[in-house]
Amino acid sequence: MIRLLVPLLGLVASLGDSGGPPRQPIMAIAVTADVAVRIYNLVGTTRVTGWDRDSIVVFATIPPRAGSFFGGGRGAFAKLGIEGQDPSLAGPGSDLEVRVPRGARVWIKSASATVDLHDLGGEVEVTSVTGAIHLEGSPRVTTLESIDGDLTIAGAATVIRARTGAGAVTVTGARGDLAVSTVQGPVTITSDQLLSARIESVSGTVRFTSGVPADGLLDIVTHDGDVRLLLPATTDARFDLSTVKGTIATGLPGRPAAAAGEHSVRFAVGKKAGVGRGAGITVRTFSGRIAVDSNPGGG
Amino acid sequence: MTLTCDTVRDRLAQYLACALDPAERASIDLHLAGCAECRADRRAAAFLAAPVAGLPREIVPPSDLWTGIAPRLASRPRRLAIPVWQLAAAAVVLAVASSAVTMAMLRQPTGRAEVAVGFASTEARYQQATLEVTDLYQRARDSLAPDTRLVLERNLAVIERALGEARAALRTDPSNRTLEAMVVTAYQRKIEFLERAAALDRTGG
Repeated sequence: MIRLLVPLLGLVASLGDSGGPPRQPIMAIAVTADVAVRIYNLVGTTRVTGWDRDSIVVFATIPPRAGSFFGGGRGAFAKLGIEGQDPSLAGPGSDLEVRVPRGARVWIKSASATVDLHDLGGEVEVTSVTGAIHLEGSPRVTTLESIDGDLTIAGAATVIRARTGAGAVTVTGARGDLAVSTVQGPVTITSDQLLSARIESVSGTVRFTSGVPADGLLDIVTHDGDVRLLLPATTDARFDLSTVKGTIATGLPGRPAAAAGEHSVRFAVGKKAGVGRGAGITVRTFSGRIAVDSNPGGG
Repeated sequence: MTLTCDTVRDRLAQYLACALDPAERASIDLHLAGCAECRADRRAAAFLAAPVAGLPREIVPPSDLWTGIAPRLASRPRRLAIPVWQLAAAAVVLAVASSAVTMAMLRQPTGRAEVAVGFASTEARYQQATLEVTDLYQRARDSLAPDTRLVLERNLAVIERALGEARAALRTDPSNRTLEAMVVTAYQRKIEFLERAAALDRTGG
């Protein structure tokens, strides 16, 4: 093991920050390609990047009185992070930079620390209190939960679950199953084609710009958050739009704008939807406005 | 993969034991995200999991157990403990009560009242679940950082307002199924949020 790790340490010493003298890793261990990694850093920043090596390498910058590093593991499991942190104390917190195998299963706990994830292909689960979470890449399963932090997901992740309170959720390029929930935070979804999505918010606005395939499902529920759907002109779907006190406006080709005062509208556009098939699109609000339009930029 | 509630309940034990493959776990997560009843089952199963795991795999009775029981059974007189006249009276009472319940059910007006009663029981279950998780949160609250409490309670106030508005609207239009769904959704949000808030205590929020 040591013979393996000594050259590894030398190699990775040059992989820290791009500028300045090379940083020395604080930890380097050999692991399996699908290792389960648990990372704890409550305050500061955590950056995790997938790479094509069966090893975990960690760089850390820990200011005085910002806790101390711990870490260990081998084979299929590893655990690392900063202990002794007090989230209630002001201060910059600790910066962790972690390289993991691309197929790793990564679990991260944060309080106010921001979390950046790149090039991961396995499973990702991150929880924070107020820290923002940013993911780029295409993990198989992504679960991001924050009480109040912003969540940003860019990439063709297969299964995405994202929940936050007042934080904004921004998803770009997702293609599979998506479940998003916020309390006040706005939700913005942009994609070419999304197979299935359930979006819930109490008072956050929802802006959905994507295609939904003929076998797809889209379900949006808000209390008083406005909902705007921008769909391709080729959309083939059955729509069920309802609001208790809000308004409904539709501007899809072949569908006249909803009459003023209409609180429940059902209609179909496209060939398959006309015979009872096609995508199922449901939007429900209590007092939020519902607008469905054709996306000029979409197919 | 779309799962039914039955399938999810069958797999909850494996789910809680982290014995499912990632795809299956993700499917169950997705189902749980949209199904309050299965979430309630998950809570119950999780509540029982630890004490059940702590039980012994089997209990071997002491070797002299039967020798202690047999003589005591043999010494008891074999006769019915309840007099026959009491059994006859119980049968009459049961028949009368059963007829009365049937008559009452047949006379019950259908329509709005039935819908309202049906939803009232659904809401009662959600209220009970809300009370339980509120209690969990209250116990965790003091150990949370003041900033965290502030953030949590600001979000809870928004959920509470939405729930209040939906319930008020349902009171004026009790047969409105859309409003029922709104109320249920608001309860689900509140329960989920309180669950997450309570979990912060255990995970160092």
